[in-house]
Amino acid sequence: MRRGYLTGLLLALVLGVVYVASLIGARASVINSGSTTASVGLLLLGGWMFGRIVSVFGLPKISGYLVFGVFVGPGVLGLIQKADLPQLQLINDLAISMIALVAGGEIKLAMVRRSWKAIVSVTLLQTVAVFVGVGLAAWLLLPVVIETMPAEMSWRVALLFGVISAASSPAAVVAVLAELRAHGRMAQLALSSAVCKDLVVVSMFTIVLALVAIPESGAGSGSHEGLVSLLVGELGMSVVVGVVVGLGLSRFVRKLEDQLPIIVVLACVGIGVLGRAAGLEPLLVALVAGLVMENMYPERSDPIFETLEELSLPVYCVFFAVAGAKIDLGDLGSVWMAAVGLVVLRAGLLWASVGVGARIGGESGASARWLWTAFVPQAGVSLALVSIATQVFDTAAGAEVFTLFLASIAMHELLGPILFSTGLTRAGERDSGMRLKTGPDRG
Amino acid sequence: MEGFLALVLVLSVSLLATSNTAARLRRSRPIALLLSGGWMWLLMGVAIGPAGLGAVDQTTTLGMTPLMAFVLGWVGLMIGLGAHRSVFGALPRAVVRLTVLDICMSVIVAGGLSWLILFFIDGRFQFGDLTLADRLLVVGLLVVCAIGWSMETRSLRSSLDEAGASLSLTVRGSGGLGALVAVGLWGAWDLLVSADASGNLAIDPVHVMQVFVAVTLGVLLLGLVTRSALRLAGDASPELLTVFLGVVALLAGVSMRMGVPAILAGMLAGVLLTNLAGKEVRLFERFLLQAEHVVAVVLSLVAGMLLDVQIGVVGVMLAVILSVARLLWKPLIVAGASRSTGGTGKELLRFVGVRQSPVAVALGVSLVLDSSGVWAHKVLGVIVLTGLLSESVPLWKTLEKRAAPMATTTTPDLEISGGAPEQAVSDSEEVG
Repeated sequence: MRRGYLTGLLLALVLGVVYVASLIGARASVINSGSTTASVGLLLLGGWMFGRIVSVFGLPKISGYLVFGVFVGPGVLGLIQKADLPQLQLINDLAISMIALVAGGEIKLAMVRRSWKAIVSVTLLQTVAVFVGVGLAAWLLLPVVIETMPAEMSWRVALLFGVISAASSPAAVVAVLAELRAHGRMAQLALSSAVCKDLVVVSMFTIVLALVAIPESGAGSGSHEGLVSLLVGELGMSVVVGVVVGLGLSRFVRKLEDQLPIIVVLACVGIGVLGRAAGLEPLLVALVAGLVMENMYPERSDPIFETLEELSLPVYCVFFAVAGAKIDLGDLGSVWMAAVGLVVLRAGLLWASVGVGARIGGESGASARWLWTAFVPQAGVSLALVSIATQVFDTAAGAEVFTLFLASIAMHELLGPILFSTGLTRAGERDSGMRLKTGPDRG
Repeated sequence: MEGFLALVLVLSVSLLATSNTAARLRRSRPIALLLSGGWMWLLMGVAIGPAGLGAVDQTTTLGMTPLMAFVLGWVGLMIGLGAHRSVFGALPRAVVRLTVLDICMSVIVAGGLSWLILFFIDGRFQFGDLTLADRLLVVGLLVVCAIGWSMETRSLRSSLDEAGASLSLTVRGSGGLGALVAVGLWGAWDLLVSADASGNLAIDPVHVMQVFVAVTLGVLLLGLVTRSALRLAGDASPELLTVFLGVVALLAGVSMRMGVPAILAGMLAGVLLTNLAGKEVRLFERFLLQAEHVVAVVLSLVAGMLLDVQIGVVGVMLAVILSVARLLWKPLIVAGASRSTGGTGKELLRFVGVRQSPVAVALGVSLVLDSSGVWAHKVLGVIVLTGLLSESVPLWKTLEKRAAPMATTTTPDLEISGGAPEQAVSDSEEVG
């Protein structure tokens, strides 16, 4: 507790210094690149400190990073300006590649072979259940909630609501598992299913977008056959590139051991570059690379994963704090009741479907009971899908729909890690002697 | 996409620069001479930047300025870390004399020549529309860039005798002290010289004092926060790394938000930290110094991308005249120092002073970050050209008296003298 007070005092000092600096700068009309650099420093140092403070109360540190981001973001204190957020996109993309590499490295093919039935049943059942359940509820209730919504729009919105609600956050799963050093059955299933689900949802989203596209919006248009082949081609190529990257890294790691930090950052940034340039899916590329390294060359790849472990904490701090900074509490204000209803409905559907899926897959016990909590967090993937989806609706009703999407994702983002952390604790997998190669907390 | 590509290029070059092959190449004296000021990476930056092949365009280059702010904060910290209180007590008089003489000559010679060219010789500059405040800034910058010299002495050491060792230490000590003074003077000048909304010179000492007090307090607070945060982090490497990176970024960013050069704030923080007790602070110092080479490469590479090669007749004139002036006065004052420490005054080492300090490039980048004018990029071009020209005579001398490849690890100077105080003041051979 004493350390908590000390950390709190240090955090207050840091915030005070940044605040005074911004006042002086504003008075002197200083305009330069210091704002972005200061934002990174604040998110790193302040986020780290706030994460330590919340951990004193038994909450996961990533919740601390998220809340800190909300606190210092444009919506509250305004120490992070809205204009700085796009500049931090680079770190976002680096983080996604790193997280996916780590996630891939945690998937043991032997375990997947043993548990494929559980992974498939949990993934498919929850995806379908949430898609259908939330979609149906949205179709019935949104015209009531959003009075300006035209009738022909409601089924489109409902479909998108359904698929976006089905998405969850593998990043949050990895971060929480690493922080709590969880390595049991539930942890393994959660990670494998979260990753598989991500791929299923992204594919579903592409199909749904094609179905709901309004021709003049320009979003999601294209023939169905073209879409399927694009999807298959994109995913297929991503897997191939991922294998190549994984093999390459494993092969050359011994020669480049002294420069591993640069190599790892270069690989993660490079995956982002390739992904964008060649129309690949960076998440999948990094995931497959991590999987290949861990399952084909485990000893050789250890230094890479150890380096990832060293580098992951600062990246997580900024990644989740930026996610928090993007949350506008004002959004919650106008649609909070509908967002709460959506959160409760989604959680209920996840609880039911994951429970059934786990039983079909032969799972039982506490890990099957609490597995559903792993799929509550939503973050980057969901936000990305929302930003694409909103291009379909360029109306006042569309803006309200967008607000509702963001509000529900924000709630899932803040509450999800806490729920998952609770679930892991109840399943007895917290501090289960993990060999997880990376984490936001080693101290 | 372009931002990613630029980062990939920067990281790839850093990888190359820190490879074992590069380390082996640096054993050769001529190559050490070329690499010591980061010139190779700088020229590579020019080649891939908007002025060269255009692999990285202007917008992307400007988008890298937050990274440069971070790097400048780091460089400032490294310079400040050399200023431990024990060093100042142990400084030989020869070092202090040489430094003071160098500063005075820089102000008179470099300041006078720059003033002459910028204010009297050509009234219409190809730099763009420079206001009075801008010109004063440029003159001040060229003066501080003239202070000090490169710390790399191996390429010009022709023997390992005691006189040579003593002169080498004096030169390195003076170079380090000069770097501290140069950064401090630049920071003060940058704060003092400002323009009002209509571009007229507006010197506001009260505002300068307020900012100075705010910066000092801020640095003090951040220094104490750093020490406490490092204690909380304990031995956990990821947590230590987070604190290290956060402190450097916050320091650089906050200072720039206040209109203070990041390199100055970094230096002040470095001075504070090196004088604080505690093993965690020593850890921080080691971390900063370990990444020194990578930081130097990134600084040089991005500086190359930022500079404008079209500096015009005035720019070339400035660079040539300042280089020639360095060639004339620097060997004289180093020769004088040599004679006062028992040397002959004819050592090859006296040409060390001709080489511009690598800190000059960092100061030039600082101007680019602080100012919105296109002319700042041209001034950076002038500084780089001056540095390149100033390398030519020492390189010629080295090739003329080519000796055997050097030893690999520790600096012979330090081994012979065991000179801890001088080493504490001196910058690294490659960053300055």
